Amino acid sequence: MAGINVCASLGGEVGRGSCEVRMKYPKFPIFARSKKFSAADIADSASLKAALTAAMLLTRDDANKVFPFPVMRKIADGTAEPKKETLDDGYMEILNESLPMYTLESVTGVCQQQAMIDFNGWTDTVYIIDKDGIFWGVATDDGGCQGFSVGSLYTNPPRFGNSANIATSKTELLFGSVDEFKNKLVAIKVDFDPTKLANIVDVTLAESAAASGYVFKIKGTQSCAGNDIYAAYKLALAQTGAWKATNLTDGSSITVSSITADDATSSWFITLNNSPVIAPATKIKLEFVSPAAGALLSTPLKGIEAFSLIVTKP
Amino acid sequence: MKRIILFLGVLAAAFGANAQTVNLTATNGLALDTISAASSEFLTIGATGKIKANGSTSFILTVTKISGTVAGTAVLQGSHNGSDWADVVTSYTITDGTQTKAFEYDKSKYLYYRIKVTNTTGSFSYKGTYYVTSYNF
Repeated sequence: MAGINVCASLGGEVGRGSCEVRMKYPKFPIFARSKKFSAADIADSASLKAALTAAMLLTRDDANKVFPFPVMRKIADGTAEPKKETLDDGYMEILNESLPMYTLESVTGVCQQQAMIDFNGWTDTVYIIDKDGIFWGVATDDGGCQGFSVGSLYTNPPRFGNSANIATSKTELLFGSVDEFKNKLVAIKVDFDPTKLANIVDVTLAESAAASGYVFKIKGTQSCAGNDIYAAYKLALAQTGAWKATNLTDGSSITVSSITADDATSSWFITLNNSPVIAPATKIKLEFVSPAAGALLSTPLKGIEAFSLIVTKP
Repeated sequence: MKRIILFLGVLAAAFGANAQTVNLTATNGLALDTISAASSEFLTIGATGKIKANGSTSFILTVTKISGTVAGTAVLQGSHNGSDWADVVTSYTITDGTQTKAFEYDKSKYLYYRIKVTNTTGSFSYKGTYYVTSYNF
């Protein structure tokens, strides 16, 4: 007769193993949609650095891209007390565990804070690098790891400071599962500064003057701050390999023949190949190559990703 | 069963680390290929034709002269995405004769690597290996 016996699976040895590690405060959250790291990716710090860099350099719409938030400088553990019930004779049980919740404070400018606000409502995953440089994730069956489930994410809007406290951005991070913390953790000690891996800001492109023939005159500004990027990226964006052009009528790629950087208008004059002929009124999408491709150019294009610009062939 | 997997360098042995030398795949899909005309070919790994760094420390290229006056270049290239590539070291000049070249690299910089072999004159065969440390968890 089958019995009820959990002795083989309930409890176990509780000795202290070698190289134990503690979870310190979450200093550097890295949000991810569905990015998972393979066993090879997390074999050591150097491999993880390469894998993280590659994931950061994906385009913003790539499901495997990861988004590093700024360094968190003040952390409050807001995890609620577990729900308990006590009977009349004093007997008490824990009924429900609470999801881990942290308030993370960072010092950011208005634009960076607004960019963080764009993640409000995020319910995918997050990797954590803690204060001691330990990268934390959730183990996968193939020896790799994935991010922790996110229950909810909220960053407050920018507001004025006061004379008593440092004005900070407050990010409320509620993890989506307490079970992930019980038996599936992966930890890797990293020896790099995650803030130095890749720092990308959005750029908005616009025509600085009317197009003529196959020449389009384009300028770029940081999307939030509005800073003209010409001076900083004059040479990088004067490379034909830095741009992509797509014919929206048939989806074909258009070769960029040459580019001239024009100091007078702080613009790049982009000449497209006239063979095959592009019909007047054709819509053309202009954009930068992916950050991963841009980083490999002779003059690397680093730190920016552009929203595509639709222009019309005159 | 509770499980915390901690990847520290000193723990590699604890989890089991095996070192092995892996053959790269030449353009013809085999470990060894021949270039007889002026052209470029690649030494890669995997079905996608991309090398994925996996605890490796160096790539070894072996060029064996077949005929003519052999001349060409070889260079290690890196990529973040497996499709856009850049040279990561100074190009090595292939001279007339049989030779071996080791390419050391910083595996923290790129996710993918490959060797580009270019023939200028003559005919030679080429093959490559890389050294891998695989971890058993």
